[in-house]
Amino acid sequence: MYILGISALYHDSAAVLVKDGEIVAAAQEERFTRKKHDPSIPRNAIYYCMKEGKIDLSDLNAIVYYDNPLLTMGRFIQNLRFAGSDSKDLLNFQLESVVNRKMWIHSMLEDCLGRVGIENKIYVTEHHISHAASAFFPSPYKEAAIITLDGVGEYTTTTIGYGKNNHIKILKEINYPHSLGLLYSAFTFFCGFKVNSGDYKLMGLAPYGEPIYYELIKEKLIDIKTDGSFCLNLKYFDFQYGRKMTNERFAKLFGGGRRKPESAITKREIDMAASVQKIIEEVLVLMAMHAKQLLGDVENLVLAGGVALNCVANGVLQRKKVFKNIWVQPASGDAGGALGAAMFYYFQHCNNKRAIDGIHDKQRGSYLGPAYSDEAIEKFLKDNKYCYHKSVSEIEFYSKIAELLNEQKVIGLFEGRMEYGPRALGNRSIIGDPRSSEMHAKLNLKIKYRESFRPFAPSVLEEVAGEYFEMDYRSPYMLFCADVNKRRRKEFSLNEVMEQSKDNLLSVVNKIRSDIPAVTHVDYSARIQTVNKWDNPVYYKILKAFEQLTGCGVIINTSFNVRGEPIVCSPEDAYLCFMRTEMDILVLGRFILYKEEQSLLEKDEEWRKKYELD
Amino acid sequence: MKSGEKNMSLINDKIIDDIFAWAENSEDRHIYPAISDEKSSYYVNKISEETYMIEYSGKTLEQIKKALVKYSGLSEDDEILKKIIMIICQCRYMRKEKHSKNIDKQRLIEEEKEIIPNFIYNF
Repeated sequence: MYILGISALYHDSAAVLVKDGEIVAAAQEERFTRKKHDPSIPRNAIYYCMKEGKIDLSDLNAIVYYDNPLLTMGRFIQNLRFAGSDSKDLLNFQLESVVNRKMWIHSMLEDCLGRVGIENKIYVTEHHISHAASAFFPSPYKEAAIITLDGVGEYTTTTIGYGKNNHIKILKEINYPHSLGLLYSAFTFFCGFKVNSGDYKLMGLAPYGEPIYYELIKEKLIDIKTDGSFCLNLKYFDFQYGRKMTNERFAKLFGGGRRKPESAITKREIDMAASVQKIIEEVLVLMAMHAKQLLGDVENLVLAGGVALNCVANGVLQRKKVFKNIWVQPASGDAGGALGAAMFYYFQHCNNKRAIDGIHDKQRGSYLGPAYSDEAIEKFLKDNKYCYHKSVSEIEFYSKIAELLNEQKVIGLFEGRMEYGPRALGNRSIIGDPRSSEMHAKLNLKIKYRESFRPFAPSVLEEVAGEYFEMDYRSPYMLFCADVNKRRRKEFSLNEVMEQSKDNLLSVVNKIRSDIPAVTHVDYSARIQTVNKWDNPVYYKILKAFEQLTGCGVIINTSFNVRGEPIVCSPEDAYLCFMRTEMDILVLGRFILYKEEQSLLEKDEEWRKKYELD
Repeated sequence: MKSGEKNMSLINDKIIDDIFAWAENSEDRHIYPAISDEKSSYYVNKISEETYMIEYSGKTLEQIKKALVKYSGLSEDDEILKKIIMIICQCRYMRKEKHSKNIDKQRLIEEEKEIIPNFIYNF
């Protein structure tokens, strides 16, 4: 039985093909169109899924869209009544999106795919059911509590549910406009970052600050009950009326207007980031405790929804040990809804049995996108007359990469199937030596062209993760933060350095805080990816070779793109990104390319204008 | 609409004005729950599984009306329902291609005005 899951028309559209309950293929449309967060009908991703599954549309048993437009319409009308005389903006800028696009999703899919073979096969799931299904069905657990948190989907912003075998059930929910996702987005927006892509920046900024606004936020903006449920004080927000997140009252509360994007980040924004982060952590922990209370002896928790990408909060939750095990859907944002929608149809709607072993998940390392064979890559290199080196043996290949890393080279690594979800996990990654004190600045400013304060994540050999970080669990999808092991830390007082630097974050960033400084954030935390030989044998062997050469079982892993660009998908995308930045080496499958041996790209001066800053 | 902003909508201005008039007349600023010390929880129990997943196929006026009545919370004799159905049906034939152009144009407006891009903040 083949099921196609679709997410589209909001942000991060994606397609997923599920065959008999197993994920065959999954990809975000942005990777193909090269438009970050592309919301359009994912025709390229759909085409890829069909190709990967070697099927035609007529082979599909169902197409499942991840959101219910009828419920969304109900919410929209309800919101019109709330906004009343202030509803002009809603009508001018949201009505069309709801009635023209979402309500006609089935016709849009027919326009895109052709009618033959898909008529009477289109289903829609509730938005948070899609999230909950994406968290539970691919998880390793037979039984789990489910928490979903995002901006909003139809009426709902937050749910607590329960999954057992092939059935999930939502038990409790919080409805729009009371939303932790929208609260976080309001702070992202107010601090001068873009909603969605800027949420990570706010999270990365938080450790520099002190949560001095925490009490103020709790007093004025959100009421949190002991069971983790919450209610926003709508007087301070404007999103109910249209396209602005916050209002004058909100600005007054924080002593002035919104930070202008790309202007200097001040202590106010840093402390706001720290404060709202503390709120997110508090709510998540209280919700988990409440779920535990509701579900008694259930030992597992699964999470999805955009807020579940907050790896710092996930790390806090993990350390609290409310649940014995936690699994987070790697594509927790809307892209992951496509997976949940397809899996819900297969398991719950069709009542198919779910085979799980309690240990291994069904996400397949999230390596679910397109791969390119060595033959295809070599043809690409030859056709374009690019200079490359082919390794004669596996041992030579891995040793060479380890040597290059040790020589402080920055390497673009393009290998195997592209990752599904926002994190690069070693197949579309830029890698470097974490022991280098200069690597952080080099990567941020000369390769990624992004803000200097943003941290880099480590990939670590799973078997030695505890030697480097204070963790006793796996984190294969880079969705948990943990502290660098105390033994590896160097004396560092953030407050002192912040005072001396007069809020110049670059000078703070450059202070050495451990023996793996390039991946140690200012509070000693790191967003960790544990790597084992089963999920990604190639990446594991690279790490292993680096460890054998240097004694260090960690490397820097950041996504293979520049700021504002979607992660690379094809060898061509990878080559362009390599040539446009100060990256030293490109590894394409088994082929190694050196920057100094390449000819400059012709007529490519305008490339930065192509990517809108995120 | 503020001066300088263009209405990119495919929807007839008259219908928008009518819906606005309805919204103005039906205004209820207390429709959403507010912060309360008396409440011990803000959770709502979810009981029905009926809407978890549904087949989605409505294309005729009658089918759309039936589906909206069933799922959107509007009743058959709601004045707004007729207008909503009217624009949904109207949009069906105006939809192709136009929306993608609108998104690009709208991005430019949004950048200038420092508001959240609709393609990101779109719910």
